Amino acid sequence: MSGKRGLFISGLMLFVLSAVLTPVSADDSTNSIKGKALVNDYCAACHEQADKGLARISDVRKTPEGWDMTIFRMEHLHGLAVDSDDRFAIIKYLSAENGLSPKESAPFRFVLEQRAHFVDTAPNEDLDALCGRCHTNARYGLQRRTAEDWLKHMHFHVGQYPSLEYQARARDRFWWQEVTSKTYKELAELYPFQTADWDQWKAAAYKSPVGLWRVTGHRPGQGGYEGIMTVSRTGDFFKAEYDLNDMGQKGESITGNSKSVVYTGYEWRGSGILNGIETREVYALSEDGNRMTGRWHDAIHYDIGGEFQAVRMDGAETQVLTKSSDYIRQGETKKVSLHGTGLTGKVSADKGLGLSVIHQNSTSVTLQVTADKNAAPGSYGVTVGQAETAIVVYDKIDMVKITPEWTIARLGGGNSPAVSAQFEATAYMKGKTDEIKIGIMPALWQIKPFNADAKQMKDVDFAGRIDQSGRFMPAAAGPNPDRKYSTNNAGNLAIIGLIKDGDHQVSGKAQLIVTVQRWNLPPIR
Amino acid sequence: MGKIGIILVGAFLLSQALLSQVGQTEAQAAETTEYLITGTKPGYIHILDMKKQEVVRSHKVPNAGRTIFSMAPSPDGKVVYIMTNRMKSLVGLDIDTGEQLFRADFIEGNIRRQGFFAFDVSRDGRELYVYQLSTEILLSEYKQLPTRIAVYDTSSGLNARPIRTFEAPRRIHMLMKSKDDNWLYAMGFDIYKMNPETGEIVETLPLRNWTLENRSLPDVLDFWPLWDQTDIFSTPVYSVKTDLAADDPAAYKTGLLTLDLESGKYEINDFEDTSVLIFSTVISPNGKHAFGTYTQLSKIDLDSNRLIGRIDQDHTYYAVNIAADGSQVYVGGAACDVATYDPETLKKIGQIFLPKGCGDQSTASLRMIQRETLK
Repeated sequence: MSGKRGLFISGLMLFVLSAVLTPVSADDSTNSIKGKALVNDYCAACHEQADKGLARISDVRKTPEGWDMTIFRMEHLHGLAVDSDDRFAIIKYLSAENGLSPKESAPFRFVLEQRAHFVDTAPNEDLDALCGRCHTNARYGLQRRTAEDWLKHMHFHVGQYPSLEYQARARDRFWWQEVTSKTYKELAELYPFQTADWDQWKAAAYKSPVGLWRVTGHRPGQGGYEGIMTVSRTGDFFKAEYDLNDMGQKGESITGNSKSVVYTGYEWRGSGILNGIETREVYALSEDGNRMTGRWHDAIHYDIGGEFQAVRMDGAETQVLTKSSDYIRQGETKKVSLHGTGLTGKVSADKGLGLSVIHQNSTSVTLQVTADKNAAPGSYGVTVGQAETAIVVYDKIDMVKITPEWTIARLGGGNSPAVSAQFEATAYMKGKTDEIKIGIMPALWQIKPFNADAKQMKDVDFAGRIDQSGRFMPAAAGPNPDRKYSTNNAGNLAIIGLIKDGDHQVSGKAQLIVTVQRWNLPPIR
Repeated sequence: MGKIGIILVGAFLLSQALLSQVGQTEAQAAETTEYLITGTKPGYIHILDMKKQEVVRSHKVPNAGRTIFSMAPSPDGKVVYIMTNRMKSLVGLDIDTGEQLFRADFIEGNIRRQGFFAFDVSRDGRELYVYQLSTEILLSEYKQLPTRIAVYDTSSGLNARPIRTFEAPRRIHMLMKSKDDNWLYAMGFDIYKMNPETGEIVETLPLRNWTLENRSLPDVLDFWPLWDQTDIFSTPVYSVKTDLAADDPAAYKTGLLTLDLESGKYEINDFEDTSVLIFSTVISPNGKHAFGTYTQLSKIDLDSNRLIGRIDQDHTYYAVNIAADGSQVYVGGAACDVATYDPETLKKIGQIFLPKGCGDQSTASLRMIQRETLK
């Protein structure tokens, strides 16, 4: 599997990078004609011509990653040989002809975005057992098929993976009978091939991402960032240039650029460099073309990355998109920067919060903020013209919550890099009726055994380490002769984050399961 | 439980009588030795003399892929049949020389056939029974064909094709030939007693369809044929008492299923509240005990249906077998060693490391044979 994994990781980005070398027509209709011709050239030898197109292919809709995986399977199981330029053109064509609309892909973006932490919920317990026991629920939720094709999918599945009938959560049911009489129909109802939403999106004129964008985001463990992205077009590709500033402790400027393709009119997939680190970008352009949201990540370590949102600068409304800090202590004076668009208006704040403007332009306002020492703890509104935001004044931290509350990390070894887990500590205070969120604060991080078994197996000594940004780095994979049973370095850990508040400390706790590596890394898990 | 005890003792006496007869006959002909057979990645089988605690033969299995799956020795201990090549082939190797004597590659034109561990050799050594999933590879789709049992003639050589086939229920993971060769047991949702000529199911031994009150469906998955010394197949069965609270440890039961391949006697008895996982079990030649393995080695008293011994092992072992005289218990499967235990004290008394760049025994069977001593 190791060779396959390597290809999978690069996935779509390989086409982006290799295709950059070849001039490609910028004209979408030319691309469409070329894509159609290529699909016929490469696929029609096996996929018979049916009523509305080639068999199977015309009965299925997928994301670009989904089509990428299909071509990968055809290469590895059915001897398809396709060069990367053609492969790219085929994926682009199929994603446009038989893709998913923005609404259809919206519930499952966490998987496309290669997040290491997400909570995945199946539509019901049967599908959780039948599909979700091996796949994310996004794996099937990001496919649309005719009922007939969902049934063919069942035939393929057990033919390719005969052991699946025997696995736990399959062997307790009459698997084959169930999937061929009931499940395929259920999937066809949940994820039908034909939808009005897709017909509408396919017919719509796609919006161009070219222009100036106001960017804000957050790097877990590092803090927020803000800045400008400038997008231009060259042929089939878009170039993004980033001029960003880290608002966290590092305070560094973040610069770089990327080359991207927009599939299906909204699926931005980029490959770039930020401060010397190779990155991948998975963003979705909003239906009106005025917003982009998603995540970028380290090209090799998908667990490291940043939340990303961008709003188009031209004609943008007055809005605060992020700020350098969400809170201030009673009696404290500190600098707080607000970042957004159209921030030229008068700055004011609720009584109890003193403000003076240090610097102001249309995208940023830097304020000297003073919280009155008698200001009642709570949320204080701050306005810049029509834009509204709030700063929390607190007297004392009452509680700390660690996020994620529970998650997993994966041991690393061989061709599988370790998958870290990033924690953050958020301070809260007691309000009149419920707790009030103060904000994310720096913390001291510790690991402890989660329970008696973990203590007995000395998981803390073996499973890995946490650094003071709250990032847990797992140990190496494989049997460990130094452990009881020579078992691997898996562990069940309590992650403790301590926030100092004057002379007292408040702690919060999360659970981390350190588990084994994944053996394959398809773009959609 | 009294009943099974009596039956087991009876079976034991009978088998001892047979053994002593065989022993006398063969003593006149040639010296015999008991061997253990296991397999390792990449595609090797190993023959181990357990009394001497050494590997005496290692053979590369031709076109095996990496993994050795289930194995069954011929009754005379001369040939071992091996499910391999991603369970798409069954290979018979001469245990002494490693020569490939038999090979059935299951693929048939555009029909891909794949086993799932389940196969057995007839007691007369003439036929092999293999469970197969069949997938027709059409131009743009796969089509499942009925699951089946294919019967091969062991004398068919290296391009063996089935001499007969019959449909079989899905999800079979174990095939077992009765000692008198009259029946074929196929284990899946239940255990089906089949006519080995026609595939007719003459009796269904209930498992999924068991009728225990206040009990969940049983959970069983076993593909380790380990009945060499007793002709009694045994496997752990997990279930939940539904009349107890979900947080009550007594709600979770581990039982032992036994099927006597000689008498047909079939029983399932709980022996503990589930506290560890057990992957496979073996019955002692005297019929008094069962031994189960995974991360622990467990000893079960079959008179009282109680757990009477358990130790932590050095690492996980999937398969357990036992010497014909009951004097040693062997564990293998997973990692690259076979450990020997004293069945009385459960103390480890030996460990044999497997050669040939071993990359794990994986789910290879652990079989015992008695045959002419290998020189």
